[in-house]
Formats: sequence, C-alpha cells, structure tokens
Amino acid sequence: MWARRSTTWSGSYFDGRTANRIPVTITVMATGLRLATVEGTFLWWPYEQLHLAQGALPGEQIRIERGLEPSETLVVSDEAFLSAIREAAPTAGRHLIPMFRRRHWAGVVLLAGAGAVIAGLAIYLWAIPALAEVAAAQMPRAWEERLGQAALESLAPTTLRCADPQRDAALSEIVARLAAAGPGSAYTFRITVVDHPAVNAFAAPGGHLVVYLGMLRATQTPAEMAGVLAHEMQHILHRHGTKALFREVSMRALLSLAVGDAGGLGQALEAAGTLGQLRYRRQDEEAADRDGMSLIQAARIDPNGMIGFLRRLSQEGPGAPHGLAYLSTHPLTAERIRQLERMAARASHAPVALLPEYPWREIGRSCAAAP
Amino acid sequence: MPPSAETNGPKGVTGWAAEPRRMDTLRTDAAGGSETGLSFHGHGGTLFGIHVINLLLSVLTLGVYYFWGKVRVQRFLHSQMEFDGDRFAYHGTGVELLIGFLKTLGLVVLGVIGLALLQLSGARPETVAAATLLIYPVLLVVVPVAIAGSRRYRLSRASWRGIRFSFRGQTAAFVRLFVSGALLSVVTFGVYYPFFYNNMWRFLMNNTYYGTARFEYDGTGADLFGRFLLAMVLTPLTLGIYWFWFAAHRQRYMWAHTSFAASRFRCTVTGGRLFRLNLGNGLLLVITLGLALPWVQARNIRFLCGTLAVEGLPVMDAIRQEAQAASPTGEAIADFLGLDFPGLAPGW
Repeated sequence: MWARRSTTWSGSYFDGRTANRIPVTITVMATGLRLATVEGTFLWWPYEQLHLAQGALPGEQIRIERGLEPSETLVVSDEAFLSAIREAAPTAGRHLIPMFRRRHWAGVVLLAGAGAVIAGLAIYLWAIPALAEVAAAQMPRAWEERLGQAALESLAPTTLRCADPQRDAALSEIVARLAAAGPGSAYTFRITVVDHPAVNAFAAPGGHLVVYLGMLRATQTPAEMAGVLAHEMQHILHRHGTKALFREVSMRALLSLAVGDAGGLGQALEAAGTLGQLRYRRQDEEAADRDGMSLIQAARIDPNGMIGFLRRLSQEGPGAPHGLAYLSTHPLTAERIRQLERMAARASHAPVALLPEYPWREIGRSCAAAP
Repeated sequence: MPPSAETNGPKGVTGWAAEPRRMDTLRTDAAGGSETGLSFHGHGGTLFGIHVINLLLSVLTLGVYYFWGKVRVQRFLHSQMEFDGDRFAYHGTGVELLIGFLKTLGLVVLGVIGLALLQLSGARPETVAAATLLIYPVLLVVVPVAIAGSRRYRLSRASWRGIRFSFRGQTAAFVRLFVSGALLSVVTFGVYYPFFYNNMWRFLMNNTYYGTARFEYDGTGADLFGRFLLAMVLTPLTLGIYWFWFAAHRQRYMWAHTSFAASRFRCTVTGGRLFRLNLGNGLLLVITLGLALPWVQARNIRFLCGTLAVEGLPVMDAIRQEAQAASPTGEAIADFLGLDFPGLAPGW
C-alpha cells in the first residue's frame, strides 16, 4: 500500500538499548514511516506513536522519537524530510511539523524581538504601575511604617541626626498646622533633621519627613519651609514611595527572569532596602505640588512662600552649590511654577502668619550650636 | 594583538595553526593510531535568535517561560555537539525545571520566614545576628549539593546515540569531600588546592557513566602541585595572566588521566589559546554591551570541543542503556546560586 508521493530518505536508527547506530532507509507514507535496514529488516513507525524531539531550528538534525523512555530514535539530517511528511501525511503527521519553516527563522526572530520590546514597554508603562497602585493600597499601614523606619535608618543614619529642641518644636508646629488642615489621615508625621549641607528634603513611607540642614538654610521664611514640607507630606499621603518601591521590585524581578538570572530575584527583593534611590514619576511630583498647594491654602499659610522658594531655587539652578540634590529629584519647570501661581491666585482666605515669633534666620544653625 | 584565531567566524578553529586538525574530520587515522574528536556546529546567531524568542515569551508569561527557554537553549547546544558522526541530545523539560525552582524557592522562603520569626519573637540581637551568620556554613554545604545535584540532573538528561549519561556519586560523600577540601585549602592558604581540585575531579568523573560504562580518572594532586606553586608565584606577578597557562596545563593533565571504555582523552588546550579566547570574549562583550553573549557561548563550546578528543575509538559494543532518575532540584539550586556547570565534564 504505497502512497503516491512517497520518497526515500537516509537516516540513523537507535534502538534505545545499545549504543549502535543502524543506518536505515526511510519511506515516508500516508500513515507512518517505514524504516529499512541494510540487512533487509523493516520497522513500521505509525505517525500517532511518534513525536518530534528536535529539528525546528536552523542547523538542527531532525530527531523523531517513538515510545516511552528510553525511546527509540530516528535521526535524519536532511531538513526536507519534514516537508515530505507534511506533503505525504498532512493530517496524520501534523504533530511532527514545527510551527514555522526554517527559512522563516530570521523573520520569526525579528518579530519576536519587536514583540518583546512592545510587551516590555506595555508592562513598564502600564501593567506594573497599575499593579503597584493596587498593591500599595492593600498594604497595611503598620507594614508601611516599618518600611519607612528601615528607609529612615539608611537615609538618615542616627549619627547624622541633629536634635535641637527649639528648632524641632518649630518644624513640628508647621507640620502639625499642615496636618490639621488636611482631610484627617491615619499617618503620624515625624520630622528628622540631618546634618548635611545639601539643599534636600524627602519623605519615607509611613509619615517620616527628612530635611537636610542645607534646606533649612536655603529657606528664608517659615512659609517657604511649609511649602517644601507640604509637598513631601503629600508624597506620604499618596503613598508615592511605597508605589515606587513596588514598581522597582517587580520591574527588577521581571528583568532578572527575562534575562534568565534566577539569582537576580533575590537581589530584586534586597532592593526593597534601597528606598533612597527610588524615583517618583513626574505625575507623582505634579500631584504632590498640586495637593501640597491645596494643603498650604487650607492651612491658611501664605502660598507665595512655596512659589518664591521654588522660583529662587530654579533661578540659582545648577549653579547653586548644594541645590543640585533637590533639583535632581524635583525637576523644576516653568510650567510647574506657573501652575502653582494659578492656584495661589484663586486663594480665598487671607493668610495667617506662621511662627511670627520664631527667629527664622537661626533655623539653619549647626548641630553643635544646639543647647 | 592581532585578531585572535578564535574570531574566524563560524568555522572558528581553522586558525589554530599549531596543530592543524580539521574539525569536520572526526577520525584522523595517523600512523601512530587514531583519534576521535568532538565538534560543535552551532552558530551564535541561531543562539541569539533563541534568546530573543525566549525573551518575548518570558515577558508575555511574566517570567514563567524562563524554564522552557532554558530547555530550548540546552537542546540546541546539545544538538550541535558531535562525536564520531553522531550528535548529542538533551531530554530535560520545562515543567520539571519549574517544579525544581518552586521547591528551591520554598526552601529559601522558609529560611527567610524563620529569620523573620526569630526577629519578631523578641530574640536578642546577638541571637539574630548569629542566625544570619549561619548562612555561610549553610552555603558551604549547599554549594556541593548544588554541584552534585546539577551534574546528576544534566547528565541524566543528556544522551548520545540514544544512550543516557548519568552521575551516580552520593551527594553526602561529595559534600564531605567539598567541605573538608575547601576548609583545608583555606587553612593552608591555598596550598591544598591542587589536591582538592584533583579529589573533586576524581569523584565527579569516577561516578560518571555513559549507559553501563564508567568514566575513570587516575591522576593525583601531587602531579599538579609543582605547577600550582609556580602559578601562585607567577599569577600575581603577571597580573593574573599566568593563571590561563596553569588552567590549560591542569585541563590537559586532567583529561590525559581520564579514560572511557578503554580509550583515553586528549586535551590540546594551551595557555595562549585560552588567553586569546577569554580576551576576545571580554572585548566582544564590552564592545556590544553584553549583546554578544550568545556568540561568546558558542565560541566557548566550539573551543572546548575543538581541543578535546578521544584516542582511538571507545569500545561501544558492550554498552547498554542504564538511565538513572534525577531530581531537578539540584539544578534549580545551582541556578539560584548563579552556578553554571556546562557540558558533560567537570571543569569545562
């Protein structure tokens, strides 16, 4: 019962029991392969008992296996062999045909590369931020506080902290006035001053505010300081830090899996400790600006303090000796300042003076000067 | 330095002028006897394509495809290696690698949870610190477990002419050998190292089988000792470059004392070639920012196959299939630790 399109091929047969190579002549038929040895013995390999173990890629030999381990094996070097099966047994031998032909390999790789870039971008720009949003919202506040505590240990080591009862009281009063004006939150805000000349301030999850001595020196009025603090407090209220952390960890985990480095998974989790290197997204900064300004206005603090400070910082720009740190994490654009000005123009209440008694020029005095 | 011989393109080895030997010719029948060589036919470009497709599928499946991708790479590499006219084959599956990974992950998570519980239970900081320091002795044991486990898994999934390889050494015995050897090497400031290396090779080789036939190693650490002392002096003086010459000498020695089915291995690697290979690989990776990794992988395997041969032809008639079961967990632990032991031989 010979199929019309049958052809013969030469291959090697291995019986799975010995290490002998048995040369065979193969006839491709409608329902299976017929293997003939030199001695004239025959083997009948029905398609339904066979599977293609290898042979889809350029340069690969075609390996067809039959039966359970240790299986019998048939190896054919000529790649046209698979085409012959495709023609002789389009249905019975379908499972032996690779998904694409070898001559399409380069195109498949190119498509896969483009697909990987698109999928990667979609995950980076859309899926991971959405996931981080959900995860941060679900995270218990106690965990967030512990996370913030760990971040504080690395961002503001105890040896660099600067306790000055008078100054701390003044700063706490600003924070308290801002917090009281807010919608009432579950966070307890705590402020830490770090002995460092850089003009910088940041927020750690759970209510920790960190201000560098350089920042205190750069502000000229309590209202300016209030602007900086209101912005950072909004980062905490919006859980921007926690979300950034989720984004960072999941991104690293995914990257390490994609490039095939299972150990990188552990490093991704370790990254949880390096909160200081996290970056907020631009929309997070805008939200902190906008809602920070609302907080300033609700607390009836002069909004021109915040605006004036930002404008002065942007004018000094990168030329300012220690201003770089803050500017690098809070890129100031003219548009940002204009938006704050538009909000300030809509203010309804007259501002109530903040810390009128406090000698603000002394706010940046060095740690050693503390009584 | 002129462009190294190894950058000749896919055909690669033609430039190694010292001992002209055609890669495609598997048996060179010379007056003094014959030699059966290994060869590698794969191209870095194909490997690159496999990695690109793996990347897409890994991203789409949020990383789960990684294990199937690993199998694809291994299957390709094995299928391109040839000995005496027949290719090797790889039989691992993605599912078993995934299961091995999940088991390993479970162990790691258990360890982390244990530490966290200790911390939360109000144990003194010293106790917590001591428990954390435990990671080093644990690693000292886990590394040999991973080496033996990975070897057991990989060899059990590799075949040639339909016959599986296997590794039958007891993990506990290897752990004892490894821990004592590593500690002795540290205590003796490295002087014990050649004996340690020799013992590892002996254990790993003497327990390696192809079907029913065992590989055998008859070298000694003492033979390596003189060269090693020389390397200890010259390596720092030459800014590390001499180590390539020592490593080449060590490989030649190890293989010369390894035999299989009544025929002995012969390794022709030289320090100069090894140095040029690594220099070329380093430059390729730096210039392409790591993108050339698949080509580097192919170059390495081609190099190893090109320098390794068997004297005479092993007697295969008596060999029978004797496949051994092997858990993928050891392989997963090795992957977790970033350890990689490619190929059929230790130290490749």
